[in-house]
Amino acid sequence: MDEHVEYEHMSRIYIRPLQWQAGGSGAKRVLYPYDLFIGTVGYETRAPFVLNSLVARPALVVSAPLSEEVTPILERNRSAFAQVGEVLSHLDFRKHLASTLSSLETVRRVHSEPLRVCVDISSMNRPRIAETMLAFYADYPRAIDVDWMYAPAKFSTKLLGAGPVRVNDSVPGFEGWADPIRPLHALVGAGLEGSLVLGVLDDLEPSETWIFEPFGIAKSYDDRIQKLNKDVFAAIPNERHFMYSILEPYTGFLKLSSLVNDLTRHGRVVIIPLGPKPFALFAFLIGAEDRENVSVWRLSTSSDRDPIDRVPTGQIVGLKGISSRT
Amino acid sequence: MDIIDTSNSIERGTRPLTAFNARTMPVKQVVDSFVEHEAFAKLRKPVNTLLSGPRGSGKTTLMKMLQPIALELWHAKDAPAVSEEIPYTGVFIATDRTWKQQLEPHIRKGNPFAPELRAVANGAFAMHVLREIILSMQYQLSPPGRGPVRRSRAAWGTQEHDRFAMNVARVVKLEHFEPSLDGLVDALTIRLAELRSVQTAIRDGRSFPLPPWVIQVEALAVAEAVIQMFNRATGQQDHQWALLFDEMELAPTDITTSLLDAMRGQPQNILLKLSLSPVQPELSVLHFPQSGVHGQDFELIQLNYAHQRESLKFGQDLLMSEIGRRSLPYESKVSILGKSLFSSIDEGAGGQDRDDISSRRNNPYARTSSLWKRFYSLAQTDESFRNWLMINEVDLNGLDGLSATARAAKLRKVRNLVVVRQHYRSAASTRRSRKSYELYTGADTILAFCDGNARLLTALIGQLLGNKAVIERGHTLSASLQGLAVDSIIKRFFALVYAAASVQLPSGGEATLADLIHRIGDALAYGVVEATFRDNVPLSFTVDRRISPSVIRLLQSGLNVGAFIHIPKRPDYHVPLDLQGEQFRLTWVLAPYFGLPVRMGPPIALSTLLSRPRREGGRIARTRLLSGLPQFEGQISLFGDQA
Repeated sequence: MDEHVEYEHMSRIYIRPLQWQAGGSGAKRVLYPYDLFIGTVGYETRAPFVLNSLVARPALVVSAPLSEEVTPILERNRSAFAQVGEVLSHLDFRKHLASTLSSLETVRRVHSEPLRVCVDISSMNRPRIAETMLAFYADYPRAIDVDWMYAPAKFSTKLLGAGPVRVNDSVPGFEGWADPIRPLHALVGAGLEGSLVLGVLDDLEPSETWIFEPFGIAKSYDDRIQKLNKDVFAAIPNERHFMYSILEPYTGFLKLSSLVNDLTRHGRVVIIPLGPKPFALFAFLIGAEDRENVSVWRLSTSSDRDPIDRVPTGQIVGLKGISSRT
Repeated sequence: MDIIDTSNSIERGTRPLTAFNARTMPVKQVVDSFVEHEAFAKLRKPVNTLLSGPRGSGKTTLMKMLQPIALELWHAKDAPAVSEEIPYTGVFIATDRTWKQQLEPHIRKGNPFAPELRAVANGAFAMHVLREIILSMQYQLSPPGRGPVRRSRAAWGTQEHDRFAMNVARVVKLEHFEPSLDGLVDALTIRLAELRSVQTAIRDGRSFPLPPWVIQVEALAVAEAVIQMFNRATGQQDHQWALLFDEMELAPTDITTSLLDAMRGQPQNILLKLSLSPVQPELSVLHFPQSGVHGQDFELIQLNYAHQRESLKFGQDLLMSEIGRRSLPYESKVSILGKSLFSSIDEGAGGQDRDDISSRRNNPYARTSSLWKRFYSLAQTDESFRNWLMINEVDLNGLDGLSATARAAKLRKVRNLVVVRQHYRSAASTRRSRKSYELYTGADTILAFCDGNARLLTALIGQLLGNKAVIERGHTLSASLQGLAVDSIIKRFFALVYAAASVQLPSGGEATLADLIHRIGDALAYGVVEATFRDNVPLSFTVDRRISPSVIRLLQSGLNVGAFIHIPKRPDYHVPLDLQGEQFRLTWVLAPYFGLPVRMGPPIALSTLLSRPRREGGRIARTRLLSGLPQFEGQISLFGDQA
C-alpha cells in the first residue's frame, strides 16, 4: 500500500473533565466564551437549558430539530433558538455542520488556537450525537476543543419501558473494522429497554458481555433500571457488572475506556449504549478514536419516537474532548 | 419418586446470557455437548450442501463438527467410523452480524463509489477465507493430537514449505511477508487491517485508488489455486477440502450469491457447505433455470421440525445426553420431568397416551383422573363441547370402559384441545388469565415445546438441571420449577422477536414481527378457547395472495428467527421466497404464552386470520410473563386497511 496516500483523517481525542467555575446563583458554570454552540430543537422543556445556563454568550449558535414532527414545545424551542442563532435542517446535519465550521474559521480572528465548541447532547438522539462527533473528529481537518454537555432531566414515570424494536443496527460511521476471527466483546449500557438487550445479544453472539448500570439521578430511576434489567443482571457475573454515576461522567468514561483498551488488545468490542445519553457519549468518543476495533450499536425502540416532555433537574455535567490531528 | 419443590434461587451470573452459542465456544466444548442427529449424517456426505435452519437450530454446531480437530476429539462410540466417512478436511469460515455491517456499511446518499466498496468487501472476504484455509493447512501439518480418534495428517519437506509460501504470495500479490505459513497468516491479517482505511476513505466520499490486488482476487479462485498447490506439495493430489461457510445470511449478498452459484461448477478439490437462514433473497437463485439442482449439484438439509415426533426425539436425546454427561441418577425423561397432561406426538389426529391403555389401573380417563376431571369440568360450562359430546355419542361417565380403539377414535383426537380449552376458558365463556405455565410441563410437552431448536433446548435443559437441590437427590422436578424454566425460555425467545427490526406499512405506519405474532397467536387461541368447540380447529395457516408484501417480510423474518415453522409439501421442499400457498404454524415455544395446544392442526388462510375483528383494547388475558418484557399493545393493523 502506498504510504503517502492519506486514506483517512486520523484524530487523537484527549478527554478531560469539564472545568467548572461558580456561577452567579451558586451553580457551577463554564465562564469562557465558545466560538460555537450546538443545540437541538427538541420536544422537551430542557432543550435550551444548557444554552441559557452559559455565562458567556457563544459567538455562534446553531441548532436543528431531529425530525419533521412538530409539537407545541418544539415550536417554542424553535423560536427560542431562532432568536439567538441559526436553525438548520434535520437533514444532512453532518454536512451542514462541516460548512458551519469552515465558515466559522474564516471569520475567526485567532487562528493559533483550536475552535472552542459546546455541544448540548441533552435533547439529541444517538444518531445526532454520532453525526456531530464525526463532523468534529473525522471530517474537520484541524484540532478542535469540544465541551460535550448534558443536563439530566427529572425522571418521568411516563418512561415505563421500551416498545418493540425499530432499529437494530450499527451506527453509521461507527461500524468498526475488526478481524472477524478475534473474539467479540459486548459492553452494554443498561437502560429502560431492559430484557430487550437479551435479544440483541442473541443476535450479535458476543463471547463475553459486560454491563454498565447507571445511577445518581433519582432513586425511582435507579429502582426502575434494576427492575427492568433483572434478567440481564442475573445473567452477568459480578466482575462484569459496573456501576457509573450519571453525575460523574469522567469517572464513567474512564471505566468504559479502560475496559475497551484492555479488551481490544485481543478482541473486538461492540458497545450498545442504552440508558442515559452520557453513556452514549462515552461510546461515541471511544468509537471516534478507535474506528477500527470498536463498533457502536444502535437499538431504537418505538418508545424513542414518542415525544415526552423532560424537565431539567438544574444540573449540568459533561466532558471535554480535544482532538489533535496526526 | 418424591416430588419436591424448592425456591428457584439461581446464582447471579450462572444463567448464560445468550442461551447457547456454538460460534464462540471452544471446539472442545462444542464436541462435548454434541448430540448426533439425522442431519449430521447428511451433512457429512462428501457433496456440496446447503444447510438451512432458523437461528439456534444448531447449524454452527453441525458445521464445526466437520473440522478435523472436532472429529479427533469426539468421543462417541461410533466416532471413528463417522470420521472415516469424512475423508475431506473441513475449514470452518465464520462470519457475524457486526462484520456484515463492517463489510456493508451505510453509505451517504449519492456516494459514487458503491462498486469500489463492493470490491473492498470481496477483497476482505477473500483474505479471510484464505487465512482460514492456511490455518487449517497448518493444523494438517501438525503432529497427531491425543484425541480418541486418529485421522491422517499431511507432511512435506522444507523445500515444499518455502515454495508453497512463495507461490501463495504470488497468487494474492503479497509483496512483504515472512516465507512461512505463520508469515502468510500475518500478512493476510495486515491486509485486512489495511482495507479498513481504504473503506473509510471511500465511504466518506473521498476518491482513492484501490490497491490493485483487491480487484484481482476472488475468494474461490484463490482457494482453488492454494489448495491445489498444497495438495501437490504434500503428495495428496486428490484430497478434498470442504469450505464450511457458516451463517452466510450475515455475509454480503454478492458473496453469498457467488458461492451459491459456484455450487453448479464445482471447483477442483473443493466441496462447498453453506449454512443459511431459511428465507434469504440469495436463495432465489436456486429457482433460476441455470441454477444448481438439489440432489444433483448440492444436497439440501433443512433443520425444520414440522412434526412433533422429530423435535421430541431430539429433545429427549439432548436431555438424556446431558444427564449422562453430568452422571445424574435418572433413567428416563419421565423420572426427571414426570408425565404430561397432553398426549404426546399429536400431529392433529390425536396423539399417543403415555399410559398403558389396556390397564384399567393406569387408564388416563378413569373417573378419578385429572384428565377425566378436565373433560367433565369443560362439559359443565361449555355448551358447544356438550353438543360435540352428544353428536359424537360420548358418555363421560363411561369413558374408562371404552376400548382402546374407541378411545383413540373419539377422545384422543380432542384430548389436547380439551385440556387447553378447560384450562383457559372461564365459566362466562371468555378467556381467563393464568399465573403459571404448569400446564405445559411433563416430559413429552416440555421437550417438544422448544420445537427442536438446539439453542433453546440447551438453555431449557441447563435451567432444569440447574435446580441442584432437587436434581442431585434424583427427585422429579415439580411442575412449578418446570413452569419457571418455560417462562424463562419464552422470555428469551420474545427478546429475540422484539429485537427484529420493523417494516413499513403502505398506510405509513410501521409493524413489527411481534405485532404479527400477537395477531396470529391471539386469533388461533380464540378459536381454541372461546369459539364454538370443534375437533378440527385451525392451528396453522397458509399464506394467500391477499397478504401484503410488508406482512410477507415479517413472515420471512419470523421464519428466520424460528417464530414460524414451515410445513413443507414434501420433506425436501424448500420454502419459496414469496411464501405463497405455503403452510406454517407458530412455534410451540409460544404455545404456552398464547394458550395453544402443542399439536398440529388444519390450516386457515392467513388473510382470514388477520381480518378477524380485534377485541377491545387489542389485548387478551393470557398468562403473563413473570417479568422483564415490554407489554404489547397490539394497535397495528396488519390486514384490512393496508391495501
